[in-house]
Amino acid sequence: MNRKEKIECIRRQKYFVWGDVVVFTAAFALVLLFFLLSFLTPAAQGNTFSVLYRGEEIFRASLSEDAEYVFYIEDGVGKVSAYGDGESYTDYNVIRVSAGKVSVTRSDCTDGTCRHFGQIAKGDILCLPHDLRIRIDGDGLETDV
Amino acid sequence: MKRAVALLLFCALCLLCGCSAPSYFVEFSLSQNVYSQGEKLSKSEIARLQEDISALLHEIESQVSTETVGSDIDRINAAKAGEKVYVGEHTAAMLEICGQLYKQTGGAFSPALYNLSRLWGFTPEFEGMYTVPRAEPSSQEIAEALSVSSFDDVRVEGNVVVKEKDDVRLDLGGIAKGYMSDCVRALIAERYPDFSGTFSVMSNSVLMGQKQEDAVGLGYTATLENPRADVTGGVSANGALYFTGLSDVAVSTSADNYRFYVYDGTLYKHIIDPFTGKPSQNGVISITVLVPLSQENAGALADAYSTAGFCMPLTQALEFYRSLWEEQGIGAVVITSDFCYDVVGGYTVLQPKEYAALTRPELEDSVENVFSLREGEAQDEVVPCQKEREYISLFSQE
Repeated sequence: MNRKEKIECIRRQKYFVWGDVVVFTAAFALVLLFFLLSFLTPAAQGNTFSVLYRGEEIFRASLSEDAEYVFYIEDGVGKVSAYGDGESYTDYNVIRVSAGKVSVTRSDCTDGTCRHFGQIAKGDILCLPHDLRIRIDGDGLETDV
Repeated sequence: MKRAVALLLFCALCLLCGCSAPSYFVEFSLSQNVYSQGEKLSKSEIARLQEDISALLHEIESQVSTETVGSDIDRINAAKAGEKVYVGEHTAAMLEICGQLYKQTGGAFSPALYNLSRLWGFTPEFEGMYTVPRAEPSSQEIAEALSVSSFDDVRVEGNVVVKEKDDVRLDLGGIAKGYMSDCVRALIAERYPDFSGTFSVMSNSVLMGQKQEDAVGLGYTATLENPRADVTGGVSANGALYFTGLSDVAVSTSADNYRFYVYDGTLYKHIIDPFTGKPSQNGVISITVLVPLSQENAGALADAYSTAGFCMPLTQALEFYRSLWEEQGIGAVVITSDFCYDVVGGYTVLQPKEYAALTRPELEDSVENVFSLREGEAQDEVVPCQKEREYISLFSQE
């Protein structure tokens, strides 16, 4: 079979031959590896968390102390204080710090999405109705630029 | 069937690549908390602004890049002596600023060093090989390159550039990113009056207006990147020093930890001294310059001034920066290989521990102060400290 016939034969092939299987398996393995690496590589965990209202930081506390805080909006201003069980708030989210993790345990927001983030040790919890973001801080010092 | 599988794999790879690769060469970042006349810009407004800025940066880059065939600089470099080269508005503006800076710095800042940069292996064609240890070029090669590396051999009249020697070649790398930051600032100011926010074009940052919603009360803050992070312990090793209380200022840093190599115990940096034709060896490892935005071309000046100090004896560089402070309110921080630093001007510069005490007290014990404020007068002779020798040894061949 000369070169021209070989090329014509390859062109007519409908199905995989062994060489194709090897090449595609290797390519699939690479794609899978990169995919898993991008999702499974652990991000650095922080020592503190910050509360941001309308994009601005209004509160920061340590993750090493178990505590409960409440975020609430009063006259359009976002505030955070230690949570007292008996007190009542409007436009609020209760933030619990436990074993170095943060969660929102109660809130009166319209969608309740913030409560479904669960306990986090990295990343953010968002509450869009209250324009609230709870962020686990990075390990280092931060500046504007 | 095979084609379909191949296409699927190709798409998957493209998606994965897209996760991390920047969409354009010049890295640009705009803060997400930006204000105009006290009103916060919406996410869609910011996205539109970023798109327009990206297009602007592309436009400038296509005129001044030495790598782009047919760019203004490419055509100037290829031109014969006496040949008129017509250039675009950005190239013309940059060359005019370069002319002023060349004169003001007595030639320490020069955009005509492309031949020398190439001789020492720091031009883009050597990308990926910058750190490969290599012997110095011969003194004859240096002398030959030096003879065609004077900006005096380039005449600029408006948008016409004429060289007096065939082989003179330009490289606007020492000013282009700063100039770009000026253009970005002009675009933002035109569209959003009384703008407050920050952005960066590579290592050139612009802090516009006053910081809004300043919860910590420090004004804008900036990190002076640690050029010796590789031999620094503690958390936040990437920060050498911290600026606080900033507003309406352009900040630019030049340092020796990008494009360098170590050979026979000497660190060769990409910043070429136009007087010796060799990589700068004045003991300086990092210079940060802060130019108030009230100065015309603040970003371009900050970029160029942060390079110029590498090409003067240390005491002369500090004297130069002192004159800039007295005459124009321009500040500077100069770090040397004995791990000392000098602050010129009235800007607040904090050590990592001081900055941590103000912003993250729980980290005060975990961060490391790397450099010390110089006691007494600086000398031209800088003796590298133990940590510096340790850093250089990281890149030395066995």
